[in-house]
Amino acid sequence: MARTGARGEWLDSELLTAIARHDQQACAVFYRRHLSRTVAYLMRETSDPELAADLAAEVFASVIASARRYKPDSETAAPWVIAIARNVLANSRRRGRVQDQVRRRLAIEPLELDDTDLDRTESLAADGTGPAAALVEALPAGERYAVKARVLEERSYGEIAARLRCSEMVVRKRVSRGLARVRQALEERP
Amino acid sequence: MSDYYDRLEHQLRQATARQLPRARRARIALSSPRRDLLAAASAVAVAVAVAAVFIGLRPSTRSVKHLPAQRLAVVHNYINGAVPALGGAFSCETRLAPAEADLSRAPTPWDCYLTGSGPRPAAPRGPGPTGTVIVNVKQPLGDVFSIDASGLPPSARGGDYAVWLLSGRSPGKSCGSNGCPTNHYSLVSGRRPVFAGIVTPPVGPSGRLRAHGSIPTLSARQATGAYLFVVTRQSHPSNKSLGRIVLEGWLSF
Repeated sequence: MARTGARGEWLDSELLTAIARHDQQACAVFYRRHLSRTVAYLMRETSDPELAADLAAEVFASVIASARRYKPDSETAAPWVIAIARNVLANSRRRGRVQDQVRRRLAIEPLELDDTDLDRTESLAADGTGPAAALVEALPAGERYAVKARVLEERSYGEIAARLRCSEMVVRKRVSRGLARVRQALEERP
Repeated sequence: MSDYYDRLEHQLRQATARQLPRARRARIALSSPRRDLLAAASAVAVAVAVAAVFIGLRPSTRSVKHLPAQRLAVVHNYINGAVPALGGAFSCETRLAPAEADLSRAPTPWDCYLTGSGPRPAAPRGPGPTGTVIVNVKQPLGDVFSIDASGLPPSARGGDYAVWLLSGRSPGKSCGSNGCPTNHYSLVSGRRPVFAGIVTPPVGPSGRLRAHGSIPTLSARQATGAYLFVVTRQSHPSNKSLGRIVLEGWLSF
């Protein structure tokens, strides 16, 4: 990949503003900064590297198309990108196939994938899970299930309680304790 | 050699450079009487909506059900009791037959019967595995399918049944006046099989499989329009690779 110069130090909001002004290097920096996290999210939701790669292309095309509408509310645009990914995924599931309207609008041509690309997708997904995922895996079983179901799979407390055959209050406590443990462990990391 | 993500980055950079400035909406200059008419129509529409809310005629906003991730996909086998209605609008039906050594073949009269395609021949009965699959369109959840198969060996330990879609192509014309396809389906090489689900609970001693499942989300590469629907026996309960094909049939949707 080419060098990107000082833009590597820019905030996400600055990069998105630059993307809206047709800055190609800002686009490259933003793409590389958020690629692995986005692919990790898509892999977690689909378990299919081919689907995840195809969806990721539509997500980043949507990022370019929506860059001018970004309103920064935190240091990172990661939640905004994941929200776009969630929308693209939901629309694709609703329609039964991966959406490509934005790519067509931006004249981004379809890209072929081979086995090496699928391996790269899985590798990116592994990179994008970050230390928090490993800490979640290290939680006690009850808390781990509750945190995953609530935070990663966005299931309701009622649904999780029914699955675990316990009260919603117990589920809330497990999620809260689990997240607190993860937060504390992250803060204690060197 | 650059990989998929490098090529994607290159395309995204180019797209960033050639983005067009957002076109301004042209203001429509309305003449005064037309503007008044528009305002009156808007007022009536708002009044009707408010009235509908008050008398409980709110439009039904069906929430979009959260589909489970593919790794959790199951094909529910109604091993005991009645099979519920599949729901949705009929899309396609085909006969499932034992797998052939050569998966590229001319279609039989049973392949992919479409709505209103005329009388169907009787399904052949035999001692071996056989069955049918129906695909219905069921928005907003996507397409769903229903399998009715018999003569299957019972699931033994480590021999779970699974359902997959293999991308194919039909280069010829679609159904003709005779109601059956006259074209030749073939598998597209280099496409990964798409996992639709593990049959749960497993097939019992009766060898009967009556199950419902969802057609998985298809990527742009996978969505070829023609698919070999296969029922496999997995060597282990996993969706990592295609198992041994037990039944197959071409579908087009």
